[in-house]
Amino acid sequence: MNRFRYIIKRLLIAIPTFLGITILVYFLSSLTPSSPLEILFNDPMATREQMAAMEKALGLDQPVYVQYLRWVRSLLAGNLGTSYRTGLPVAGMIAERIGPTLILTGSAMAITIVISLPLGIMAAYKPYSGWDYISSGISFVGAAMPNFFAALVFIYIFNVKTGLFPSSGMYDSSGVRTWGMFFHHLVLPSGVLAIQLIGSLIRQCRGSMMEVLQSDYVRTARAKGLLEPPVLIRHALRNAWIPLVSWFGMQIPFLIGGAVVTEQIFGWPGLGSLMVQSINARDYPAIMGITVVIAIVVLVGNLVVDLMYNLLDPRIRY
Amino acid sequence: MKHSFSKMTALALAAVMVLSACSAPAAPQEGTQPAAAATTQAAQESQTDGETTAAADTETPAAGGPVTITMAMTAPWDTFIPFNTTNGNTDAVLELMYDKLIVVKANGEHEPRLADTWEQDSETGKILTFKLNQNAKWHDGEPVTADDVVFTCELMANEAITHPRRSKVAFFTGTDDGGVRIQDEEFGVEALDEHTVQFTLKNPSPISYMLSQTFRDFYVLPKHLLADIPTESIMSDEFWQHPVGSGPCIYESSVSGERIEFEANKDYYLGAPEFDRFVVRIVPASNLLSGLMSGEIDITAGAGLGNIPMNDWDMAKQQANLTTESVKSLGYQYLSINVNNIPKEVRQAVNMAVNRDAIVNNLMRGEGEAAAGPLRQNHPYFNEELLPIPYDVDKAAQMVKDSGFDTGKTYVLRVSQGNEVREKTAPLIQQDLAKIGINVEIVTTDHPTHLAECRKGEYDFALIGSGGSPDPAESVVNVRPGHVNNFSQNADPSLYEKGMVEGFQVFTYEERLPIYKEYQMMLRDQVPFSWLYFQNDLVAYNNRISNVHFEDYSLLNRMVWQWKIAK
Repeated sequence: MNRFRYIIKRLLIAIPTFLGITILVYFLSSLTPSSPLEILFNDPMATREQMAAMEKALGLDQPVYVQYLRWVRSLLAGNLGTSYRTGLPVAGMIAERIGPTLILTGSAMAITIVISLPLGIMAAYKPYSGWDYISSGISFVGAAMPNFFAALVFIYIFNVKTGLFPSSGMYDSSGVRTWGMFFHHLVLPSGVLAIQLIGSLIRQCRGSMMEVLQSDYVRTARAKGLLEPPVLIRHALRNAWIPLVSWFGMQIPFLIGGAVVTEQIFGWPGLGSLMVQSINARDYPAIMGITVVIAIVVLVGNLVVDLMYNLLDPRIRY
Repeated sequence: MKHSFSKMTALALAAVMVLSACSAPAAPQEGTQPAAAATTQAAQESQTDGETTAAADTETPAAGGPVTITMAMTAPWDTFIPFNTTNGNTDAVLELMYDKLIVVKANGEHEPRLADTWEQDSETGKILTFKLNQNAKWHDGEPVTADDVVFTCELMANEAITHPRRSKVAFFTGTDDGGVRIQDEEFGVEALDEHTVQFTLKNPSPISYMLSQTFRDFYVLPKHLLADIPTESIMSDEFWQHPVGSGPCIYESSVSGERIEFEANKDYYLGAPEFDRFVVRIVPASNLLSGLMSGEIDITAGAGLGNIPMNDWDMAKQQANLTTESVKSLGYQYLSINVNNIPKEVRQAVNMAVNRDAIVNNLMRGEGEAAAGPLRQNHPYFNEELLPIPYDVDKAAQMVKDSGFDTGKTYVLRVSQGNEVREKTAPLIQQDLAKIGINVEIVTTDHPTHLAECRKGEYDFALIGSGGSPDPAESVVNVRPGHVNNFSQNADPSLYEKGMVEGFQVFTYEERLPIYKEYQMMLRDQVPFSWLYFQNDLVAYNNRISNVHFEDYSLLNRMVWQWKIAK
């Protein structure tokens, strides 16, 4: 019951937070000294009359708060509006782009987990051993290497020099789009994204496990004569989860918002590259639509993370 | 140690299983898909098109399989509604699917496309007549007729929809200044018979100007598929998800922001393309060369939509599988000068102080040409008297001094992001101006902001570019008082009167030439803009393609049906 009330309370708090985010984004983007008309009329033959007619048709002649209220009203009716740039419904544009982003960031996350958790746990289990030095080395390199640089190195090694993987896009031009082709194109961008995440997760995991392994209950478990695997899994890892779950919570905006830079470099048609295109075109409905999606997922994601704390550690109460 | 290591590995794997099962929704695909997918891929490749693997290795497909050409551009298309955009990347795609009446060549000539012949009534200069190709067919097999052309114009002039290309129809009678149809007036677009269409202009304009500026991006739409859709809902109709045109490429499918795939229109009335499939891919500029080298890409889109970056140019030239071209483009860059803030003598001094050769030789490594005015030196209307381009720093400094111009102030030089060479031009101009005593501060913004501020006149100097045109009147609107692109805030109508009034009373090259020679001299005297340079388009394509006319690309003609493809 308590948990149910907690969820309701959190959802109620999320409403003003959500509105606050949309107000901030809407008004900030309208503060830029240009309008979508500058881009729509990238034509030497355009006239002032035509621009004025378009301004009126898009409602851009209204004060910003009127535009915002109109946008909120259509949002409440479930309509994210129509893009200025493409003339297509924003919801459909986002739907087309969210899949590639989720697969890219999701697979990067999976690679990260597969590599980081074992390394992190082992580094904590045998601190200052060879394992520890290897994992710290990897995490420092990962944390210190900016995405765009890693991307260039990857393209140089795996595309230009060895030709193992394609450098951009999701498919080749053969006309048949297969999953195999898709994953072949996915390797470089997700690998680049993973490098940075790996660095951070190894540190997080090592730190968290180290702390737990020194605690009394782990010593007690060992004193009881338990074998090492159950000690690590049942006693240590379970308690080391909480900071790790927080770490995942912090990655949610990244997972959904997409890795803007990586998507750009690899021509990966995700939400991040759509956001950049929309900003460049001052496509307010698209910018707002993407903002709404990211805001909702982040708010809900944070709630889920908070609920997981209680599952992992029943001492945490709401 | 060894013992504990294997235990640890097992443990770590267990941990991973638990974690990946409860984390991101897409994560499980990483674990499960590759094996299955790899087999399906292999199966599909062997059963459908064995040439894909061959293409990657040798760049020449095995005989028998479909020939696919991949063209890369660096930014995506916006829409398939041809009048609902002014975006160059979109035009590059539209031109493949839909037909235009004519082909505009960079040398000023015009070639038939949907229209076989065209003529201007030499008496009034107001009537343009086009005879359409009788063999032209829509992709669904229906014939293309004059009614389709009339329908497209009526749609573009319809008040019920608002779109950024209405200026196309504002030239014709029966529309208001904004291009909206005036109901009780007769429309200046008529079908005289099934294959003849006649345009009546409000004011006389040389046909060269109309073809180069208005008809170059006027795409004809199929009346029989669109006429029954209510105009209010036509922009959101299903048709645009799977457009039907009459061009050399038939729309097949697209992945938003990544690619469009076409099938070749083997019945194209100007000749069947030699390829079977055509793919337009969106590839970041930094990956163009690697894609060309590996054979993932066959040709760049050129014309500023897909140029080889300057830093990759030397390497591109060394590739044995590629043909590279440094294409003379009509597009120019200029320094717009706000005439309200900078007096004429100072503008003339600035024009004389800019070291154009330094820009061309250092920033473009010689792949460009210094500009004396809006027309390139090989332009049919170029005035030779503009050469040599005056460059005299001492004289310019003296002129600034003599004019009594306030040199104690810091002026604003605006530049936008997105064009590498142009951005790097700003500090060079800053140094040139400092030499004649004018201090400027560089303000860099994104492009929409840059345009907005320049249109408002919130600047002293600004770097701007234009696509240029084979018609010498292209630049006139930019110096027309009151026009949106009158960045220099010019209020003197003399340039407009010369270029678009006097130059529009006569229609032949011989008659227009002296007028535009004078117009170029007037520009140099008044200096609303100081022209800087023409940057060549650096393009590359696979050796198996030939007969490619890159110089016409900036005028939205790729003429893919003429490309020769080695089998």
